[in-house]
Amino acid sequence: MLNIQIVTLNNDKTIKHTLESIKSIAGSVTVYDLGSTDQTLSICSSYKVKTIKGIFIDNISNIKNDLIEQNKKNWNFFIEPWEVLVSGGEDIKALVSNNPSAYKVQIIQNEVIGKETRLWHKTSNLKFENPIFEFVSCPDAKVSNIVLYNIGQSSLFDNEKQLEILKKWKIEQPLSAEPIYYEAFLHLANSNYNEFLACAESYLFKSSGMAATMLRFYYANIQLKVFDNLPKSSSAIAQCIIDNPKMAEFWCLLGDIYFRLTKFSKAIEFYNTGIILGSQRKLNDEWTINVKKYKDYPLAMIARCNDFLV
Amino acid sequence: MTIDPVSAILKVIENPLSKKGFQELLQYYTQTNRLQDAEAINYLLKVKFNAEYTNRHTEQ
Repeated sequence: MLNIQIVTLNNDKTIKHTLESIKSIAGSVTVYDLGSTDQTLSICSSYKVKTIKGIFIDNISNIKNDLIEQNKKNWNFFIEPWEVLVSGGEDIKALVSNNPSAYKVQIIQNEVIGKETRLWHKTSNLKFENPIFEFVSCPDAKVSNIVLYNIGQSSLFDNEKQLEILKKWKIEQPLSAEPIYYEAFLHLANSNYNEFLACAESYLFKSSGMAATMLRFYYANIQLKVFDNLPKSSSAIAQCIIDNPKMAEFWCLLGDIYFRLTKFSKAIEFYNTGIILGSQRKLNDEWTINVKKYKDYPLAMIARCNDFLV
Repeated sequence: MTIDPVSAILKVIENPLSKKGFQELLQYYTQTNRLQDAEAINYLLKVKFNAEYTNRHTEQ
């Protein structure tokens, strides 16, 4: 009924935990290995999984879409070799007994919870998109209670390889904004802040929607915390708030700007607004969530502001 | 009258203790059929300003 699919490349530090976490789920497991030279395959061999030694190509979506094509079971479930299933195993069993559908899982990395479509019935005809930073686009997918925790990296490739694939992608699709979006985040992850700002501005010039709003949020963060450019940070975060006023993260950053300006009374108002509006968010919406920004962080900052006001 | 959301959020930033900017945001979300966002702002107005509004009753 269900096939769990994992694409690996030198993941011997984490794959054991991934396989242990899905052991109790009724279904077959396929590991498609891109040529690991570490102990990944040896570890996999001690579990009841089907291992395929694959060919390394610079397009992860093509690899995963081939796996979908080859899947003889009705349901696909993708998990990365650095993720562990921390809850929702029972939900998976229940969901695959239901009518054909598609579901998002919640993925915790650091303090942020993201949502990605990872479980779907084959009749949904869903495919991965992008040669790297691949994802499944399915706006109708429901957010499930399945929770994955990231215990390691976030890509099969190192930075150099990721940049190489992005460069090739940009050449192949010169009018697409997508590779610029991912290039921005790659620069951000590598602390290349000037390059990040340039890519972000280029992407935001021609894009809108949730992805653009989140990129604008990081842009506002960097403008404040790295470049101390308060006007650019505040105008960017104002736009984010218009796009989604229920994101406490956005209000907290506005509070941070006024904290930086030593306007503590105003900062308190924005932190409080974030707590109130953030309480109105539905946890199963599509947006990422930084749980600390909904209570702990704003309350701590309000206390700091009050210390200054006394 | 169509509400300019940028103008509304600037009013909020300028004076977060005033209802005015939040009321305009509420109108904007209502006009653009973003009902969950409108409900959230309505809740904020109720909690923060002890007032509640609907799309047909927007105090100026």
